[in-house]
Amino acid sequence: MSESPLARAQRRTREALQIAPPPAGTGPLQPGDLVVLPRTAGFPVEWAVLDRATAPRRLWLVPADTHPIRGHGDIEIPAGEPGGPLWLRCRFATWVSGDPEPEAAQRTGRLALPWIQEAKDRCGQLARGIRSVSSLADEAEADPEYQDWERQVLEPARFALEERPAEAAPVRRRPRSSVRLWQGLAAACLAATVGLSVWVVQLRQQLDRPVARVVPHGVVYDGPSRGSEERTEAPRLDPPALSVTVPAQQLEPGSVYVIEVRTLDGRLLARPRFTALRDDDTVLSIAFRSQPDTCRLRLFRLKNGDWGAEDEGVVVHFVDPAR
Amino acid sequence: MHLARLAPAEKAQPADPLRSADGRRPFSEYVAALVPEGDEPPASLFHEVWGSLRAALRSELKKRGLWDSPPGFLGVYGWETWEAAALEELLADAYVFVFVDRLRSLRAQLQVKPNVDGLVFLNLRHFLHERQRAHDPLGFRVFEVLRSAVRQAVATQTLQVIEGETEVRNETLLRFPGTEPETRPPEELVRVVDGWCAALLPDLVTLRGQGQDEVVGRLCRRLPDLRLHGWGSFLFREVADAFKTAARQRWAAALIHEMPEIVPETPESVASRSVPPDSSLEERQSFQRLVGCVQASLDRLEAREKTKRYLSTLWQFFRIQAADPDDGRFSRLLDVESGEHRSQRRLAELLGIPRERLPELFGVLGRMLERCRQAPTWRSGKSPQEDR
Repeated sequence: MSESPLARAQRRTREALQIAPPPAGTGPLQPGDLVVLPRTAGFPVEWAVLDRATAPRRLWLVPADTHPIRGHGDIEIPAGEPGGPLWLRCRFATWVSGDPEPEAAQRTGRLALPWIQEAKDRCGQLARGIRSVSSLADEAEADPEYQDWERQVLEPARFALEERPAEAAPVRRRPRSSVRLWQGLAAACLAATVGLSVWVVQLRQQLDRPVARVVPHGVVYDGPSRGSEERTEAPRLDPPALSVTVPAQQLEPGSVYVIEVRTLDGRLLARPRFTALRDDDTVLSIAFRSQPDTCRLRLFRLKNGDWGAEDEGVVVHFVDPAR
Repeated sequence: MHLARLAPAEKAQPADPLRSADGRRPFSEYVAALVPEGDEPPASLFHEVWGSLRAALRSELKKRGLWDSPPGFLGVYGWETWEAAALEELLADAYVFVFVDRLRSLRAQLQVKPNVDGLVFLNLRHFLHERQRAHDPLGFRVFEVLRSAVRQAVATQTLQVIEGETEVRNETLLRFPGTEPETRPPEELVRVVDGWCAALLPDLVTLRGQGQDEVVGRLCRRLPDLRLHGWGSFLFREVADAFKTAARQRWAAALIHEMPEIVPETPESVASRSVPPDSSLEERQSFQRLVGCVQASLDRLEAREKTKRYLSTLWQFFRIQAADPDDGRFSRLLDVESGEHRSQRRLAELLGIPRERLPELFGVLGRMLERCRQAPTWRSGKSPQEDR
């Protein structure tokens, strides 16, 4: 006689309760630790510790959740593994101050170190603009549910974590540019570079332009203005990627900034963020799920959760590198 | 006012399953009582949770427009409607998904939250999303593409959200700007969505990645057809349901005359399918792993771009044809000798693949399927290595 659904549920419950949880760690947080933080209690995420640095003391955390949908930047820890089922969202990994430990972090479990290594590798690939080949991940990322999850849960959770003294993880920083061209421009200058900054395309802006003007919704920088200050070109790359250099002069040290990349019809392609450091230009590598023909970049500064537009944007046209 | 007529005919009005009559929160109480290596929670609490979860599940099924669909669309076979036994089957799987598989995570959140009721509901929605994706791939794909297209239209202000969630869900009410009160004749809606299917199939359900973005764009440009046919405002669910129905009929019509053995899913065919109702959750999960393994093998395959495209299209076709946990169906579909796909000409026409290439492509997919089936991971409960 087959088991009734109710009896099956009760049996599975009993079996689950017989499994002893892995021993929780003690002392300072270590790679593999899973924690929950009061700061992000409003979101259904835990954080997995990927790494810790000593000078300055920082922790590299990645959000982890149980939404069973996996994009290119995610690592799936299957059911049956310690901590699983769980999905690590490497696109939203971030460094936070570890001095002291993130306040009131509570350990909730521990992941096997091979998963941590895999997540670190994936984060590294994302930073270099390398995308895994997986049509299942393509499918997942085309799913509006996945896009909503990123926008409504993962992005704000990372914001909440970074609101306190925090470090985003730009790909790399380079010494402050000595080019005077940038000085005197209020906030609207972005330089787009591609790949590992091999090709730098500068956005030039006339000095007499009004600056710090928010672009009204729907304005598109298109039309016969090729070569003007509002448009620039970047080569198509495989996998699709774009690097953006933000000169230090444009930024207020310590502030958190966001670069929003949208298609001309308004679809969000990427929204990386970073904390401005004194004296260093910031270089971000932005990977795309699919190659857009054009995109618009806008720089925002995060102020108390409100995004103040700092520039009026630039339209990037992707062209064949042979041109 | 015509908009008044757009209110859903049957809005789910469940009792608040978050709280019991005396104001307690049974879900959170239950999670707190589920202590690993501890005693089982009192039976009364279990039954209270079981009942509350059933109410929540029924409400969510109605909200998603699934209450009137065959249970087979969610992988519950052997029933034509959501009668009590069918609902209990689904309820048991939902319970395991929420309270067994995700127990550690729920208990973790209890450390920083006063309750996890919201999380229980969220997990329930994830459960249904997953089941739809796995067991009604055609309907899921059509819904997903339409939703993306409508969201794109909202972003460009081709459409406006009048009521409901701006993320666009079944109950979202939309309108083309400046639309006059319209007649909204049902036959015109059928005509419009059928036109979309004629123009977009089979790409609508077989293309992936960038190809899918293109299909979304094509559909987005066709949305104003609705206004031209008197549907200047509409509930998303109305159009989604009509579009899914039309796509299923078109898909069937394209194959039915010469490929009777692989007539695709229709509500009737799903309802009458004789898969045992007690096919376990584990079996279904294994089946999905098998699908994932073949998909990953395709991704890694070194072949010419065109060949990979043909293989991908063919594989998506078979995924839709064999959406139930009967993995033997794949083998029958791929076996040239069995005759399940005896009209290769029809298949070639439908999918835009040169007919002479089909035997070779069948062979490649068949070998991949066999390798995945024999891989030690596919029934072991772990993700296939090649899918990582």
